[in-house]
Amino acid sequence: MKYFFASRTGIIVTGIAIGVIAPLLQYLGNPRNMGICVACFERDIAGALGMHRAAVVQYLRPEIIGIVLGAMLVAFLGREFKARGGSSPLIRFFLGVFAMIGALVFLGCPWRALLRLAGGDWNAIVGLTGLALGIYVGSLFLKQGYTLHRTQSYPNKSAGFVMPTLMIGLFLLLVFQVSFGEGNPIFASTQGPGASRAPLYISLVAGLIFGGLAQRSRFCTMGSLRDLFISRDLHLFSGVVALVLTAFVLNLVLGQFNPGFIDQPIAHNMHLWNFLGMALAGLAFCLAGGCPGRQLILAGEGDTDAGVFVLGMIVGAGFSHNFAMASSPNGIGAFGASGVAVGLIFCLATAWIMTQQRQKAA
Amino acid sequence: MTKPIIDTRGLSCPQPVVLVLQALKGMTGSFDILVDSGAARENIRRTLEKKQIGFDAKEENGDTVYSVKR
Repeated sequence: MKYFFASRTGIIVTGIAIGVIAPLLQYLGNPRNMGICVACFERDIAGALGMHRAAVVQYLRPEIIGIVLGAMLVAFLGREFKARGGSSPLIRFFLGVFAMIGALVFLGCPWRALLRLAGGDWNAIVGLTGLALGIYVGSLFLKQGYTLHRTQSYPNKSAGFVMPTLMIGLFLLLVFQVSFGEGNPIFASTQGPGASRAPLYISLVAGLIFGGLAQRSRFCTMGSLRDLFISRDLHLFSGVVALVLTAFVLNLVLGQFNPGFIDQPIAHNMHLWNFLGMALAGLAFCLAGGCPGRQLILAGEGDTDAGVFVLGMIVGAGFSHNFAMASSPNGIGAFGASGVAVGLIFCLATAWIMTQQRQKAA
Repeated sequence: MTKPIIDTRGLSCPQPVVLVLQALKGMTGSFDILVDSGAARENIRRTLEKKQIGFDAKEENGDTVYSVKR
């Protein structure tokens, strides 16, 4: 079993599982072409906590909670749960912030980009091209010795439970429908994408399955392209292809396939910004070592640096909406372009500095 | 001379694989690779197998050691 998921078949099975479950989640109520989206759903969590006040995107998404807890459980069973941290946490935090700003200019994480493609939203092709460019640039720095330096193992496993415990806390706030007073969080959208939800426990179980499978198989959309660029390794890429093909077939069956560029759900067609938003996100993911889904998995395995990246993404979602950087179906926000520019400067500077350092040390 | 050791412990993906690829290019003899994460362990194994490079694997203090033989 352990080796099955490390195999080519294992990664393809994971891709197929996500490709089946995501369109079903959409069928059962999740937003269109958004059966699962780590960036969007973390943004919804930021909204539910009141970190932004965009009333249409607020909900404590059980999928995110499930992914972290599913990865934790399976990592435990596989004896891979290991508390660790200390690899440039502050830099990782801001990589998370800017990854989210970029993803919300495009409107989706790489998982959603693939699901948008499988749903016929051709804008996703533009976004995925940008993603590939960002990852390619990051790969160049990696080949030159870019590093955020080594993580340290903690002697006690307990340190690795901070993120899973936070997720359990969010889950309790959700199921007990806690409110901190009139006009205060916890918020839950009554209209818009935040109000489109599959039933709570189905979402949670779907998240647990995503988390468990992806922990075993190391599924990573960013890694799929990065490995192509660095070592011509098609392993992860085969999982991504399986995801898209499966979701495409299922969307056809469920009547959810709708090809075109115009009037796509929760998307805009400003090509330049779809491209640049995802280029920023791709670069940030590459520098941090994983796509948002993979970061949730690592956080569940006890990697506190990945946990810091996830928190950066949630805070970044707050910034995105509070500072008018997030896009809407009408197009990019008033400050979306500035956000992407600042993010690209930060990421390129980080890549440059953390590569130079290595060359001097060597 | 002692065998060179490529220590990939604690590094984020894909740095372990990058270090191994560089070592394969830059060195002619045998070397050891120290690995401590599940993903890196599988990635390095796959990389070596794809390049048809002979190696032994053993567990040492919770880390995996791949001994590349050339």
